[in-house]
Amino acid sequence: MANSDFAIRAIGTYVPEAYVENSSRIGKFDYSQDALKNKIGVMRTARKAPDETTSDMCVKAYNDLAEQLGDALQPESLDLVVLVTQHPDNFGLPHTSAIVHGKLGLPSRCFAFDISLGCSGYVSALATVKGHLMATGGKRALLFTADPYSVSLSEDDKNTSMIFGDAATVTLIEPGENWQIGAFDSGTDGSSHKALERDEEGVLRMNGRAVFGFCALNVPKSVKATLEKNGLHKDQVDAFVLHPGSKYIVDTLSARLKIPAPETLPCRDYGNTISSSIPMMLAELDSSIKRTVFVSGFGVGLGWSSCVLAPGGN
Amino acid sequence: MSTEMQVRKIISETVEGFDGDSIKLDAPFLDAGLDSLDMASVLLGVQEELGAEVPEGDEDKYDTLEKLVAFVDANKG
Repeated sequence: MANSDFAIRAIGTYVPEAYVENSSRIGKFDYSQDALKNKIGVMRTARKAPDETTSDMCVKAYNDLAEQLGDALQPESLDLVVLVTQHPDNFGLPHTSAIVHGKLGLPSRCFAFDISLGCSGYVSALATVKGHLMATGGKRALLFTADPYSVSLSEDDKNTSMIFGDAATVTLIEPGENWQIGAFDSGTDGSSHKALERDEEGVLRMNGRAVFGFCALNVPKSVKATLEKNGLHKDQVDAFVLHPGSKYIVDTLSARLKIPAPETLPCRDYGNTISSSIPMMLAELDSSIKRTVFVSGFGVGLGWSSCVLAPGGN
Repeated sequence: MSTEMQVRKIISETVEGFDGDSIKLDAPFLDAGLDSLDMASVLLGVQEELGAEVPEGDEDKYDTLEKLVAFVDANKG
């Protein structure tokens, strides 16, 4: 029987050193300090260096993981590398995960591919990685996220420039007892794909109202469906890790789900880093403590993906 | 309850610290102190509770309580 107890073992992260302070531009966009703090919730947005590629960012996240795990990382025994990005190196050909594979000197037995998803990408990719390992008899995988939106956004766009930041993460997935990858609920509303897209000049544009409405209507339903699929009640979840689209979206979802809203966004000092947002938040939790964590990512597509990470035996 | 009262109630319930009864019928929402995020919540509340969805891109056409109420009356679900 295919192994199904795949779990998150460890997470490496990378946030660029350069950033833009949002307080320096609220006047330009006619925001108040109150709106910055309580509705946007992001105080500064990280920005990669102009010549820094997506694969470079992945390598830096890997170096952080290697520092954490030392010999336990065992790159020679990796079976799979997956990268979630919509800002690939080199116009996307070859796939950036292959470039990362080469930069890291990974073995040829380790297959690599990219997934083109945004904010739902990390959670959705957990399903893809688990399924791929089960189908191929693999045991160990690295799941990278690196989607530097600074490449596409306009710093003059008030809807996007004050929210999105650059970062990269890498998650080691292998059989384990804690944070096992559970059952999923995912979906897409392709009729709303234009709500978050690059325009004809390649600049990112976001229809805030459309994205907000999509999240407010679909995420609570997804949370309910995911809990049911995992045989859980909301009160059995130790931590809800919801994609931090903005403080306003997180507060709205928290109210609709009747769960406590965070006082500040965990990403307040680097921004919404797309598919890296959730692993960045997970990396702040002590994964050695046995607890049940609910994760939900939602956005570009528009789409959503939710699942539960829980101790084995649940 | 009249449509106007229902919309005022939705505003009070969705915009934290804001009294929907304080808005003048013909005053632009933005001038009354509501921002674009507040309006996103109000329009979603109108859609969910009254069944009237303002089409994407048409938000500026219903920028006062008077206009929004008229739209809801014409499009109630």
